[in-house]
Amino acid sequence: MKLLVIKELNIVNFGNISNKKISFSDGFNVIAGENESGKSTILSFIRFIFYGVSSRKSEIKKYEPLLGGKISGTATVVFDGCEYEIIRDLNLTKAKQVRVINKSTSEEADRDFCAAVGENFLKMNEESFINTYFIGQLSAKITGGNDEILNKLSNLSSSGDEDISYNEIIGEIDEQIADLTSPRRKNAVILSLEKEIDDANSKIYRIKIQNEQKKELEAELARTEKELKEAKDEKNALTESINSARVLEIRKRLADEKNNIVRLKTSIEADKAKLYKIVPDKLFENIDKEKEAEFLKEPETDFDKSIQKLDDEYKKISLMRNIICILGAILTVLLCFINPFFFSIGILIIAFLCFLHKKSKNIIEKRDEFKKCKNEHESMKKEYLKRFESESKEEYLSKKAKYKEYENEKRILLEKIKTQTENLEILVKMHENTENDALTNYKNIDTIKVADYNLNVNIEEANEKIKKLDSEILLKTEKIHRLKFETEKDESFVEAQEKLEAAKTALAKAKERYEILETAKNYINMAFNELKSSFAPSLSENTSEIFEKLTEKKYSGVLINEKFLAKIKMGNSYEDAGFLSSGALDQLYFSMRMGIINTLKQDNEEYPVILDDAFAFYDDTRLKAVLDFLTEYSKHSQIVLSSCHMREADYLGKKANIINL
Amino acid sequence: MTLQIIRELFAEGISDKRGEKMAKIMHISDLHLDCALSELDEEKREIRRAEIKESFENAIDYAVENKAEVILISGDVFDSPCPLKSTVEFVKKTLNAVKAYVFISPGNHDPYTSKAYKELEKELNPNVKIFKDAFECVDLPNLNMRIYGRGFMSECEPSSLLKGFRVIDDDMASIVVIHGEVTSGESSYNPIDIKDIAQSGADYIALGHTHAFSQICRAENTCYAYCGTHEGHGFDECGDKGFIFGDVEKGNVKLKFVPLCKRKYYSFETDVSDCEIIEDISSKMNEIIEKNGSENLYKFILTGYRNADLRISESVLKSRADAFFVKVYDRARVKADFESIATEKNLRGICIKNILNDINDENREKLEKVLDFFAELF
Repeated sequence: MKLLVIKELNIVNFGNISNKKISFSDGFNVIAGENESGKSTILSFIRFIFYGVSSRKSEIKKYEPLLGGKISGTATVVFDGCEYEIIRDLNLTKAKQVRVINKSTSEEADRDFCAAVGENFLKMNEESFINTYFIGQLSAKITGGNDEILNKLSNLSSSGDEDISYNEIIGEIDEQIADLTSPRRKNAVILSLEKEIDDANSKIYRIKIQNEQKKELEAELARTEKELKEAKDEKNALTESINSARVLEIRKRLADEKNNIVRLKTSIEADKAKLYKIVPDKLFENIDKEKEAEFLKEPETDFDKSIQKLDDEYKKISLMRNIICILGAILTVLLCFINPFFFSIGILIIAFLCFLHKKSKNIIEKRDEFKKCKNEHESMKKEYLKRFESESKEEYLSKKAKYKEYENEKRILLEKIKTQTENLEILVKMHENTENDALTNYKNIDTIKVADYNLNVNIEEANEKIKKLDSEILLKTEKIHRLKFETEKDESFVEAQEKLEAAKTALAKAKERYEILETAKNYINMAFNELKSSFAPSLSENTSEIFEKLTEKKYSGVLINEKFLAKIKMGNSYEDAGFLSSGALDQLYFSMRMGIINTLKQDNEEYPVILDDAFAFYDDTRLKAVLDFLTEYSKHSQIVLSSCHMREADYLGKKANIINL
Repeated sequence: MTLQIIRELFAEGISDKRGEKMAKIMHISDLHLDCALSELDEEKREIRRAEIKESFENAIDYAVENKAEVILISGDVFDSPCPLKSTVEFVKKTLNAVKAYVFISPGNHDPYTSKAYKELEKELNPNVKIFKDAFECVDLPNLNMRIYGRGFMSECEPSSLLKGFRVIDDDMASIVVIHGEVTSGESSYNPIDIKDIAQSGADYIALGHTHAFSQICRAENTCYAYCGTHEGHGFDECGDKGFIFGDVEKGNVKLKFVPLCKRKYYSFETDVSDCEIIEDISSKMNEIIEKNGSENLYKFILTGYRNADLRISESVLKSRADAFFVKVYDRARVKADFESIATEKNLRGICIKNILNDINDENREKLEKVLDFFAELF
């Protein structure tokens, strides 16, 4: 049944055609005319009527009316037994550019219908239409097996709605799958969720381990705290001992110092008392050194001895004188008796006697002088002794020695007192310092309780030990801080758990989506294969049938595979179509085109087949064959064929509605 | 077999009224403090966690105001054996402020051996008693009552902790605090047989584990009940939550459920078949919210059939709902005549046909989703 028939075209303004009415029969229509007479334009107008120009803006220009104004025109079609008028006028506002009127009811179709006139009448989109029912000049010339038209056919076959091709659908699903799982996608949902889950799990694990470790750490903390306390106690004990020792030491020092001061004071007092008691003889205070020296000086000569000696000498001389006098007198007398000359001797003797006399006189004088000196000296001594209330020189000397001794003693004492007083001052000062120190350190050192610790502590050793303890305490304190920090790290894995659970939920959802997508993809592939495999045999069959007719049984078998590659039966085998002549190839593709139409069309759904000068390059035999085929075909489908030759019209004669331009 | 019972005496009481009137008790359980709330979003989780604590405080306040003398906590105080220190401190502070006797029986989430109780027991008032491995009995002569209890020692207690237990038979009232699952079959969580309850001779057994109030049940002369959780933790814990409060004396149990939760969880199935636009769904949801209170938490499961072009955005619906928290699950099918599509001789038709052929009870859910996916795709 002819579902759709184009009854009439009223081209108001389209390309180079204006105000032209063309009526079609519901059978075979041939539009004949010279090149550039507008055949293709008429066929394009049919396309325009059904699909408009919106998707082919470049064509608006191509078919811009030469007379000015905008494209407009109408077509009357019979669809499913009803007559409709399709009105397109681009002069009007967009909403009114298309109108469809049901002529039998005069009802106007709604806008949704008008927006998709072709889809509604032809049950396919424009592209599918162009690929099937609208066979252009080029379609027959296409050679080779896998280019545009076959792709289009493949797409066409793959989707019912033709809006979405198999490739597009699979592309979209793959895109969505990639969004979920592709490692190349930055945030592939499933992968990032899995990572999130991994992270959350490891965090939970880490915190759990930490909590386990915390127990150990806490035990260690308690141990360390105990050790620290012990160390501190030991240190305190030591410090206490040292302090006590120090206190005691200070106390001892203070006491010692006090004792020393007292002792020194006593000693000074005693010395002072002693000093009072020493009273030296005042006579000796001022001794005339010269006089004393004089006093003490022994006379240069021993007066007594010298006097004695002089006395002795005098006596000797007196004796000698006496002797000589007597003897001389005797001798002289005697000699004078002998010789008077010898009297002279007597003179000599007298002279000698005179000399002796003089000498003795000198001696006496000398002796007297000595005696005088001796007396003077003795009186001086006597006077000196008298002055010093001494009886003798020895007494004087002893007295003087005693004085000296006293003096010396006094001096020494004074010296001593002076030194001691100085020492006392130093001691007092020292004591004051000690007291001050004690005061600043201990306030009241006397009341400090001295601990009962080891007071025999060696402060140096203890300090050494304290130093060690201090570093130990420092280490332990640090350790405790660290342990406390570790154990008090109050990390809850609730958050991680929540993240984990949320991620798991999201992952389950994503995986469900993924599964849906994969399943959908499988079903689509399955359907596509099914479609192709169901399509291929019937397409082969349909194509074979037509090709056989067209070639007048020269070729009887065509095998078209799922990829729309055709093989031709040659004897017992099938050969690639490439060996065919270009004319035969044209026939083959026309056959395939018609085969596709036959394969795709639903029962009782026949649409007009539009052929735009499709057979221009056919030789007469081939043309006849195809026209015969189309004549037959036009019994159930309207055919509109344009041609620049008249041979179609001539051959068909009355079998067709010939429209001469 | 009779379980050996360690006895203890709480001589000092808050009031001496032996035999004068009934003892006031409160039974609360399954606080699950620091519980993970993964159904909620981050902000609401924090709020809810704080509220679960607050709700416990409120319950204790209620007990104080209503002069409860004994507070029974039947386990799962903490959601995990290692709760936050601050949470333990919170519980300690809350319980230490109470003069009533408090008895805690640790549950599977917070067994006695866990760090939680180790921390809690430090500086805990002596009127708070935590039960452990063996059955213990605390005499409260002032109240003429004995409280028995036994706690979980690990996360699993596959054999009954109550089996063979019998209270001392005299004129003192007896209450048992225990965490476990009342079942006639097996359970990892202290499977308690009704027979054991009946044979215990106790006046009341305060149970914990199940998060819903069980009603006050009775086996022979023993009353028992799950008070449920005091505050819902998820959409599997819908409706009113609270605790049990009332009077108990020998042979006489007068307890009732006190709903005192801050917010309730609700779960609704909403048929969107008659919704044309997303706003229709929103107003449907908001109607329900208005009826039940906007302070609550809602889960909407969208059911029915929707138009293929009505795209449901869970986040849009969530943002348009006037409630504290809303979760939307889109379970609505797409309205499409799959049977007729299946007759089409094209990709879509074949797909749908094949799916319809393949559907069985096992894969129905999944394949229906695939169908919906196609309905939206084609």
